[in-house]
Amino acid sequence: MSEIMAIASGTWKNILRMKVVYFLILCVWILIGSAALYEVLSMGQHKPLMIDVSLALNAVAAALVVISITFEIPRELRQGVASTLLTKSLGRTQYLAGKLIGIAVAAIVICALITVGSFVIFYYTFTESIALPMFQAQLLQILSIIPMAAIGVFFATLFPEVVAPVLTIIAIWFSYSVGVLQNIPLLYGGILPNLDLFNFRSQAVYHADIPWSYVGLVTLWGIAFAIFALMLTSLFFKVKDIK
Amino acid sequence: MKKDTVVRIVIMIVALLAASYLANILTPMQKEISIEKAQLTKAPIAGLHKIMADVAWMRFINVAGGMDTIDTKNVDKISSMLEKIIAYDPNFEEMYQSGVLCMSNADPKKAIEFLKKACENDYLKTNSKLPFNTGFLLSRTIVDQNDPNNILSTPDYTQAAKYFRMAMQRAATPEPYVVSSYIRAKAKAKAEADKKIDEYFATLSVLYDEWKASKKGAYEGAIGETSSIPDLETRLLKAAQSAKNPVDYDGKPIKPLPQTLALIAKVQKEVLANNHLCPNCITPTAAGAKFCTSCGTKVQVWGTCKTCHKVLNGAKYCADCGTKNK
Repeated sequence: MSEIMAIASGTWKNILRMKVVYFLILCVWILIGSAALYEVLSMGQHKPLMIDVSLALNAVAAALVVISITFEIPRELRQGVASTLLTKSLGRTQYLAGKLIGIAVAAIVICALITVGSFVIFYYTFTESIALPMFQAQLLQILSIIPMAAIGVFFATLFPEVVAPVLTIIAIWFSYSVGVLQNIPLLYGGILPNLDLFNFRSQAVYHADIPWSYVGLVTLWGIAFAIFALMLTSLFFKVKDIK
Repeated sequence: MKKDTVVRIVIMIVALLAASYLANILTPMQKEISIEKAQLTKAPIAGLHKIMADVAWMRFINVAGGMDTIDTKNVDKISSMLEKIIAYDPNFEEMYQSGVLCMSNADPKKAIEFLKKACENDYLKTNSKLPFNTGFLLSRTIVDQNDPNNILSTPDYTQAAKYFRMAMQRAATPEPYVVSSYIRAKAKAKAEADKKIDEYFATLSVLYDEWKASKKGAYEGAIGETSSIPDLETRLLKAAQSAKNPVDYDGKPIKPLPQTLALIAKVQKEVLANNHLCPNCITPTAAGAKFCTSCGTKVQVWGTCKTCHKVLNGAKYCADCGTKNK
């Protein structure tokens, strides 16, 4: 377990140490705040617009952080960093699990910062308290990072860094979009991820409550899917040649 | 096969089954929580429907604002933009309230179609403006601005009355114009259906039916449809007065229909019996008055002391002779 945490902490520290991450968070806050200026252009719809922008940008930020792992793992495999790590007492599954946890923690921290900032901006712009559905929608957005990170690790392990980010973006996009497969749960939500289960952006705008039981179950789904994806990745990773 | 590989496969299968099982529970739960999801466009936009609706809305404002007028020539563009917004967010209230009304003169049928959808929307079920706007459009004759001979829509008073009623029921206290619109639409529908009656009779009969419904609701424990018209008796009084002295389209007095007179008498007897009205012109009479101040007809005196016949002004004891009056 300590080996996994060592890999994980190395991963999240690497990301959270980068100044560009905070610059991007600042840019996101500015974009969220700028929604307040759209009062006339949106005919008074600037408040829902601000909520929508914060949720959408949070989703984009989560995807971007996850994509960063698709550069890191192939680079480590190519440069032999991974083989150095794996010659120690560290197993391949532990390496992958560490990477998964590391990237998930980094993305959760970044998205949480964006969320807190967006709430502060919202509060000071509209002098209105944060409604529970707004908090729940942001929380679900943050929780969606768990399966999203597993997807990132899967492609990062199997494909080179040129292909892996593209495939990860497509997979995340697809898993948010393919609502038509919802009637086949084993396929959609099982083998194929259903990130749309975390999508309650309308609820945040229309202040419709989301039951906490749903939030709990969807978190379990995220963890179950991440474990499935991690085990699948480790099976492929086991037979992969590493320099 | 190595033991750890088998363990991994077993964990993978268990996790897959758990994920599928949970997805099986979560999918219907999500459908229940987020009803509008079923109506959303299936276009692959990564769940960004709401923000896409906002962007499409601002684009609509930009395009519509840049147009000199919205008429039959350019309404298709506006209509397709609004359709897109609905596909992204069927709960977009402002779009129905402002956006749809922009095109109501150019394509009233499409506007009504949009508004009817909005009225059926569960999320918007507390909005009383939407059914009112629907009823308003349904009760108008709308002609093409570019060609006055081209009638774009003709009134459907039965449908209009249905939506005006919906607007009344959704408002805690319905605005007088909503109530008047409902009564007018229902009366016109009734007059259209039966050529033997005029609008005076129809209006009075609608109000009388509403009054009966309200009484029925009160007596039967308010089960079923009850009237939600405020000041119903005042409205009945005014309708009876108008029906008693009808005028034609040029404002010239005409003779009331026999069935109208019969209905007025019925209303006076059943509804307005305690209102101290002149039997001739149905004007309320003052306490102590012997003749109607409006038409001079002799009326039944009320509100006076049973001993000295002085006006009591609601007092329990007569100020003149001290007699106790009920």
